[in-house]
Amino acid sequence: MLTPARLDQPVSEVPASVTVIDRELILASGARELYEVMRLVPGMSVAKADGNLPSVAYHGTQARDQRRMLVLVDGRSVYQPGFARVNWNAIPVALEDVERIEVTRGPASAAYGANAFTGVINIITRDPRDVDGQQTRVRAGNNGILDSRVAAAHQFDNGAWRLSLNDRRDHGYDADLPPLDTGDAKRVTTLNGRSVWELNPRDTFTVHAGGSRTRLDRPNERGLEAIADYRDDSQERAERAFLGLEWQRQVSPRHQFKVSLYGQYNNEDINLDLCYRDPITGTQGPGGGLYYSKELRDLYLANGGDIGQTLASAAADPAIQNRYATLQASGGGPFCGTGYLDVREERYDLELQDTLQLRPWARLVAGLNLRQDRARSQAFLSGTAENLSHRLFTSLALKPLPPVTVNLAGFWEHDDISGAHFSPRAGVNWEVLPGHTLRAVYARALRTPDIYEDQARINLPISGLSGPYGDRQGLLGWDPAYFFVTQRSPGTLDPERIRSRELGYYGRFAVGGMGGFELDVRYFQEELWDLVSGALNPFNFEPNNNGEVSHRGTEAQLSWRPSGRHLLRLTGAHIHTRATSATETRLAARDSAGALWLWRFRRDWWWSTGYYLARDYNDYPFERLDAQLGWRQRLAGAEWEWRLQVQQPLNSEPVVFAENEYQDDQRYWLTVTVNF
Amino acid sequence: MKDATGSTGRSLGIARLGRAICVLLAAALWAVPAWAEPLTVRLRAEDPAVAERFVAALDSVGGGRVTLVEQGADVTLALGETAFRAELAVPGRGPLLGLAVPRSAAGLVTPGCDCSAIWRGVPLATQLALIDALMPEAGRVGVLLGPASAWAPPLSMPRGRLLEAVLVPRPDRLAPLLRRYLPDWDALLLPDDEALFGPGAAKLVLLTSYRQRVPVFGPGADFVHAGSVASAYLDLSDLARAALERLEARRRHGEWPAQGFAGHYSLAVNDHVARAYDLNLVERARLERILETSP
Repeated sequence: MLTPARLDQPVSEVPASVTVIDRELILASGARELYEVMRLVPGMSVAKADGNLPSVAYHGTQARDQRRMLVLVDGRSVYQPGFARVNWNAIPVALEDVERIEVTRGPASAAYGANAFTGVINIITRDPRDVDGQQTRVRAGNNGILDSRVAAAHQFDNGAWRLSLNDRRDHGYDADLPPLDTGDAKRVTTLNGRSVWELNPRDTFTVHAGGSRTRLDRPNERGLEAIADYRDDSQERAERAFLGLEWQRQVSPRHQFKVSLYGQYNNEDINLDLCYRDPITGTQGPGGGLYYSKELRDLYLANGGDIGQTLASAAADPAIQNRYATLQASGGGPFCGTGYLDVREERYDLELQDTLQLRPWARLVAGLNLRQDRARSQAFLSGTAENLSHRLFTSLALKPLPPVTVNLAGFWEHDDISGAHFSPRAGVNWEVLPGHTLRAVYARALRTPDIYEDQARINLPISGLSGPYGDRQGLLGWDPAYFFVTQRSPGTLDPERIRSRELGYYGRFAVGGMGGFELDVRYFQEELWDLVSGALNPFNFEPNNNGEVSHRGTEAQLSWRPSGRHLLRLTGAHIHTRATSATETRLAARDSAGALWLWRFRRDWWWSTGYYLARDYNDYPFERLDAQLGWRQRLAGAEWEWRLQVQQPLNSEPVVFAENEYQDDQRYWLTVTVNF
Repeated sequence: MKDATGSTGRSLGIARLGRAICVLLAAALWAVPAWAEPLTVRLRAEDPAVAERFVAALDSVGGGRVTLVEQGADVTLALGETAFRAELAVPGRGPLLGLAVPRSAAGLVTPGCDCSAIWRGVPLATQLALIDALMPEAGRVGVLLGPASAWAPPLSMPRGRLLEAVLVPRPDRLAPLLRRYLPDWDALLLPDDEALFGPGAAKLVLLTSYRQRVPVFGPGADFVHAGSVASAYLDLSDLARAALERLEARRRHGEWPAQGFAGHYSLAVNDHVARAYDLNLVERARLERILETSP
């Protein structure tokens, strides 16, 4: 277990509750996409809350924002800095590339700094030295599911490499059920590669590289539909790439040093192809250009940003009347154009980490980190904004007595947006009996405002205007011309904060002839304050720190292997959430549970069944039963693997929001994998 | 009636006890003369350093029951396969006991050869008993076997556990087969196999398994020192003890007992590695009792 304290520790000694999702659990889950295996984590809220955008949040609060949890891939943060989110669709890792996923349940800013707020998910990809040969995989099912994969790995004298290309497509939620009537299909292509060189017995050099390309159909914006008609569907188009370098030196058996450097790039936009309706006649016409006129912007600002008041008073404003007359006299047809919600983000991160065994009973890890985040967006930032942060961290694991482990950690950081902050954590693990450990942890963490929250300047320009509308200055009063609604962040937001107390138990034991058990139980209290709870979109922009949430509850996870043929895994969480804002409870399920059973009924055959419950997400319960039949065989010198998966929702409720409803309740697919 | 019955019972008990003591005394009186005269043995070994240590172990556990001679020995002890093969080829040789001979060389012991052998390594059941104690939750145990391994397929399936044996035909196939099969196993068990799991393979096996969090058990003390969780192993004292037992049996019965594993083993546990995997840190005494009850 590497994640909780940046030290390689047994689970019984880490200062947190952890969930490890290994390759066997991934196989048993039958999951098709990375985010789905997070259902195996107690207390984790998992839902496609916004069309084809999965939401994954530990102790979930807001449905659409995933700002409060850090996600790492091989130690590299995929938490996107400009707009504080994790885009699960675009993480360039296929499930077949995953060695294991370590989930630290609880604040971990003391080890990873800001944004490791409610927890950390660390996705560890397969080491190329452990991957054999080539692989192809095809998957097809209902709901437009069509996935493919090709992968290769090769070992050479002092190292190895692996590379995989994955493509997955589906139709998303049903396209014919209003209001999600434009569909939310997706196509995601990812590339993931890793190469390792053992330079000498002490030095290892690793290169990580990859990227993704996503095409997501997006539902229509209801706010815009009130004033315009879509002439083409919106689509999110994104390209992402990353390159990471890591050098690790085993200075001595007790001393290890690591330098890691990575850069990542994200470029995405959503097109808004609209023909605006004349606010007077309600039909498409030149008067629709008023929404991009300088005069309506001025009136909007004069009304203090009140959209309703602005539109209600527009007809009586002389300047707007003149602009309307000018547009009508232009002889142009319907006012149609394209706006782009564009985002471009870059991150460069350098980290040095030193791990030292000070004494047989004391280990220390310390390091420093330098990071530059840059975000560019015409629509959201009206330009470019940056944030430079530097950090120092240390973590100490002590064993003053053989059954007792004390973990102390602290993380100091300074960034341009939030200034200096310190996040501490202290934990004590006491092995009261062999295989039975009690744990007490106290931690504080923070989430710093992202670049958008701090420096938003929303100005949505329009392009693709044809005919006389090309003369923006003459017909709209300014060039470039922007949508009349604008927002600006005051730049005064404070970091969100969390304080967590935990009492836990971890046991790994055998009971007579009943096989082995692994049990983790956690009781926790979490207080979150200074939360940015309000919406921050162009139509509704409430940048304040007024939100507060408290969580109190119990979680448990049990793995039981009654024999080599069976694995049973049970998880459950019961959480009381109180919040000052209803939006902070959208993804907070009071009760959630999961059960997974894997049965290897013959040497190369297996059956698995999964059951998942969350009651409720935004008043809608989620309940689903999965089943999988798998078979491996050797054929024509290759190993073939066949898997048939069925997912059966156990109720007809939508997922989080009313529009998230499948037309066909049952989903199924067949996966064929060939290893050669 | 009650008293009478009880009394009868006591009488019968005393009678049985007396008979048992007599049998034991007789056995002791019969046995003592057998060792009264030290047995003379001749030792042949490829490696003089190992031979020297074995002689010391034999002296230590033998208590003067055997005397090492160069000429006119009652029995020849051949340490290692090379020495065993060489002695078998000597014309007119006397009784011969091979020590630490690979099980793959079991065919050398033929009817009428007046020879026997003690195999290298430890039985599969002994190593599985260790896994039972240290990692009871290991449902799927993989075993990599080579042509010269101490165990040969088919392996007997332990109760409640899947044991998957994979044949490694040549040492250069070890890495690809590890990559292929290790993800399917909870623990990896290695047999004694000098050709497959020599010092050069330790790094490959142990690092590969550690990256995938699959604990390794076996094949011997060197591996445990390098990062294997635990292993029963045959050290020279165990071998000397087993040799004395074989010699005694032959002297008593006039013929060699069947070849097989030594029956006495030592224990190596890497507490650091066991702790890293959160395995049961079972009391050493309990683990040693497991070895004592091994075949």
